[in-house]
Amino acid sequence: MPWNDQSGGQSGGGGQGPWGSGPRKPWGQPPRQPPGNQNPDLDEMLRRFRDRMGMGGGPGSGAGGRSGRPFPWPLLAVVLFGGWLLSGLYTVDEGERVVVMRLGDYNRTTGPGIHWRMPSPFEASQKVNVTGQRTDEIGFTTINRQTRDNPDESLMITGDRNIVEIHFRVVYNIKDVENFVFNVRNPVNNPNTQELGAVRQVAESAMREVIGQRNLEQIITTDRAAVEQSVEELTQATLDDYAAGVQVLQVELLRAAAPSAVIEAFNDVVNAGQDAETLTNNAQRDTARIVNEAEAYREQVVREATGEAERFTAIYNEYRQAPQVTRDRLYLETMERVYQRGNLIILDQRGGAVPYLPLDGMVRRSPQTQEGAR
Amino acid sequence: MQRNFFIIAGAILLALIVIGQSMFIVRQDRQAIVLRFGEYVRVINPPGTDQPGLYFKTPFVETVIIYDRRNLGLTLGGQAYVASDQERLIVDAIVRWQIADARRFYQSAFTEQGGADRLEVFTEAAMRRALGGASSNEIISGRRAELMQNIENDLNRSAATELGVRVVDVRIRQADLPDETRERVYERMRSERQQVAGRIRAEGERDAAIIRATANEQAARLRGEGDGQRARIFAQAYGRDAEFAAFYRSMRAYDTALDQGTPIVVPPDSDFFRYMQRRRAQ
Repeated sequence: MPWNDQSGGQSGGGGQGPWGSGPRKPWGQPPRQPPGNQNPDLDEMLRRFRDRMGMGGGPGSGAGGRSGRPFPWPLLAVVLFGGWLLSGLYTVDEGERVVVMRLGDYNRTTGPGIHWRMPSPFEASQKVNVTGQRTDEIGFTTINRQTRDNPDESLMITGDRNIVEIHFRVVYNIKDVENFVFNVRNPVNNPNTQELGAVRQVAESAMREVIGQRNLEQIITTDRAAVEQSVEELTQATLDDYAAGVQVLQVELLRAAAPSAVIEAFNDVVNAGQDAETLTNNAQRDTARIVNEAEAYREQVVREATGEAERFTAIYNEYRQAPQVTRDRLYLETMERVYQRGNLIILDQRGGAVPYLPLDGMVRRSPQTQEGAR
Repeated sequence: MQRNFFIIAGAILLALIVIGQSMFIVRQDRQAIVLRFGEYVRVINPPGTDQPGLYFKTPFVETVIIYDRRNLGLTLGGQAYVASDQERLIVDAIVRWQIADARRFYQSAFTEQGGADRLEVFTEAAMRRALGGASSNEIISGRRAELMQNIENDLNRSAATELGVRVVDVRIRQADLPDETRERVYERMRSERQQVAGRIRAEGERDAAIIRATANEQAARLRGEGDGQRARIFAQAYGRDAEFAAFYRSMRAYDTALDQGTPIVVPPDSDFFRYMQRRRAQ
């Protein structure tokens, strides 16, 4: 220290102490009085303090006494100290864990119940809900059970350069409290600063990566479960890489569809499928009708023919018994019926010239004749 | 006495200030560097070590700067990048990073915000390098994971030494077409769907026509069978006496073919009137 040994070096001062008093005596020969009187005063004060302590701590010594008695500082001190100690009490609910740091160093994790930690500057605690499932909704926001699309998040580009609208949900909880608290800043969304949590960011990025590797057609039809699976695995792997202490429980793909701008064209494809099916169904129905009609025709024709043939056979058998009689009878009976119905004109053609017959008029008159005949 | 009390109180206060100035706590998730009049002295609890706790320093002479030790997030807004096939893509990314060398970080960035800003510039440059060498298809689908790894490695070479940070992860959030291209994509998607819809409808019509034709074929065969059987039955029956069969069939045909009121011109010497003439002749 410069003032312990300064007889040598200093040229101008000449052995003076730093305070300019006597040589080699930094504290020596105090120039003023008050410091000298300090000791007795201090003793007295301490004694008085002790007296007060005794009075304050004594039973029924009238702490509230107004007869010039001093304020009970010791009591206040005890109360404050007790309050300070009590400030270390905390309760933990089922499903919560509290991480306690002693002088900043991770010390222990406490489970449900009531616990005490050292008060403020020595130990600090942080409470985390571990078993409660946390949910992040990506691509949409739910307000009063109504979902609203969030185009900036929901529209994703697929491997075949189409755009798909994705709404999904990540459900996760905390598997390692210590990691969760100490390793990643903002692991979950911060509602105060609107800052998005790491889980959400990673999940969205994973979804976009997975969607980018697949084709639209498969994403919206067959690959939904595979997409969920891949996103879950990718998100979990990334978060584990960060040692974030987060367990992804589920990735739910709520909507994977064509964007609303082109949804009509997509629906029309579905409609086209229905139309085509209707057409073939109608054709099937017609097939049944056509085939049944044809079958009916075949049966009808064959049975009629069989009947006719049997009828002929019956007559023929009779005809063989008496050919001429039967033939004449058949002829006359038929002609009888025919001439009865028709407009009979008997005309002798032996005259040579064919006479003019007003056939037209006769035909027109004929219905009345028949009416009259019946 | 009153004056002495204040002196003591002042002394206690002074002592508290000195104690407060000479002690500091480094939390589990923080790291600290100690500076003596701005000159680096030591770092406490850097990543990879486990040294949190209570520390002492020379009051007023040494100052402490506390940095976060956790994995920090940096979000880069969407920027247009030109891929190797000259297509423009809007890419945004998240960077997870950590202050790895607090001394270096203090020297080059000073505050965490300053470090984040500089890291953002580094990241954009690294992305431009990585994405510029890849086609848009590779960025969108094929090699996204690989590209992200390349950017991370690039940053860990450039930014890490420069800024004293470690880049834990770079993730491309969105690699998307610009808005003006999007409408064209929609148009193409629509036309593709219309094509599919048209094909499905045409296939439906074709299938329906085939089904009908098959039905007609079957129907014709059935009718033919019927006609054939009919012919055989008649041939069998009429074949016993062709002459009589013709006569019989003619009779039936006259009966059914001639309608009501059909004018029929008959010569008086027809078979029907045979007996009329005979009587006249007698």
